[in-house]
Amino acid sequence: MLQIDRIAHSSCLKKYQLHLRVTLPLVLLVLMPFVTTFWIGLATLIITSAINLWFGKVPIKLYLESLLAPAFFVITAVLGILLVTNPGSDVVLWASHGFSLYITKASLSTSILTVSSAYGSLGLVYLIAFHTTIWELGQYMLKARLPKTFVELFVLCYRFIFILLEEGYEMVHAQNLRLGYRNLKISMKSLSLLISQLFIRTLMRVRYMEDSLEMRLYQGDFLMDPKEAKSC
Amino acid sequence: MLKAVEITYQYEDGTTALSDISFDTQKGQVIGVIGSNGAGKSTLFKCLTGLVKPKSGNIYMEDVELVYNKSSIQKLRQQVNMVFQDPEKQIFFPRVYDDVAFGPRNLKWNEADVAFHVNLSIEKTGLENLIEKPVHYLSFGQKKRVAISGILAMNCQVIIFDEPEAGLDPSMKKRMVSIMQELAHQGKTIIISSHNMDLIYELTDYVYVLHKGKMLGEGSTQTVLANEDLLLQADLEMPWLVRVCKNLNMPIVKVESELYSHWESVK
Repeated sequence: MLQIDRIAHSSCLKKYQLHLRVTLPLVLLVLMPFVTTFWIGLATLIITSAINLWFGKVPIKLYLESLLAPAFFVITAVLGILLVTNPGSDVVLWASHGFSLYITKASLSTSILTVSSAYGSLGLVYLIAFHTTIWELGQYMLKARLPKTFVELFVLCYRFIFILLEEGYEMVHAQNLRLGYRNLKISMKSLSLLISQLFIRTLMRVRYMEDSLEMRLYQGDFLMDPKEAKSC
Repeated sequence: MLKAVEITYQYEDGTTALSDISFDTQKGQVIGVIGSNGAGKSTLFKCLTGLVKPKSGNIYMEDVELVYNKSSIQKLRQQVNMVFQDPEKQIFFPRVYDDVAFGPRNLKWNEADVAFHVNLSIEKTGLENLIEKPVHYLSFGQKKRVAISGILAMNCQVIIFDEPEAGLDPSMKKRMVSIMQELAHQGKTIIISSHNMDLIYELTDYVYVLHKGKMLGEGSTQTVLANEDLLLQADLEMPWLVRVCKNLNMPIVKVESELYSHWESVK
């Protein structure tokens, strides 16, 4: 996630309008579940990957890792579609009579369609994620007239994820230096301490934030630049 | 201008954090508040900015007593504001420009005025190249400058710096000193708390010494920081320049270059 964020900030596709970078993949993403042939999903994945790798200069290793990230969920979902217990009148391609599991022609084609749609969609999501910063997405949402509170929360969550990660990393380093993850028993104890401390620190952060917000005359709005929202 | 008269503050558990403290910004352009850890410096700043209400005593801004309602506190903060020690506590927005613009936008200035003040403060802190950068990729020193910019952009008359040089490298410290000097030169009142006596000696013209919530002493910087007994009582130490002058039985000088000039003249 951190790497994707870093790449988004220095993307080669930034020269193209935000509107183009987000709207086009977004529209295709909405249409993807209605696709009935597998080659459309496959073609989308190939084209988006080409744009990401060739024009967007996303490192290939990171891109492949990112594609593999949701593989577990895709595989488990597809297994549920692929294996049927009652083949009915479908053509059975494979059968495991001991477990009453069958792969039919229909279940295979649905599975292929699901995988291609899922990965086609993933290609589109990465086309947005690798080349659009969260800040730009916030501006886009404002332009799309999404509720301001929602956009502000979206942007603030993003900021605080990094604060939480920084706090967490520092504490894990400190625990590691004092051999806090030496064996499973100690690791479990360290992990529970880490979680409880993160919780306490989050609460403290909230107090500091309240003070700081008051000092800077917070009126209930995290005001973003209205000009930029108009120009994207 | 900003004045605290005999303020006392107690925590919820009854511990007295400040006891009969009086403070006045009329006494200097750059005012130092010194004291060991737990002396009450941060609590005093919280009282001065209306973040907490003292149990007794009053805060005055331009001779008007602070009333603890939303409008008068907001009015106070338009004139008196504070740069926190840890910039992370002060930065909310992921992008530098918008974080700096947070205060001015809350003041409901029009976007042209916001841009003017934001750009001016960004220029003063040398953040021009980082304006579009996400805050989480900045170094500590850069974040500190963003935090300062956010307060400068509000164009306050009194700016409090809580441990301004803590965690900064020597070059950033120098930059910080020059920012504070420039602000003082422009007529702003600067209040600084620090454990670095050399910095306090170099920058301030009046000093308050706090210890365990009580005011141990106050006076011109050169008088207070040459008072060894007072500093020892407050668990503090003399600035190196004063120490050297005292130990060499020389007249006490304010800046390092004066020491060398004196040395050259007696050689």
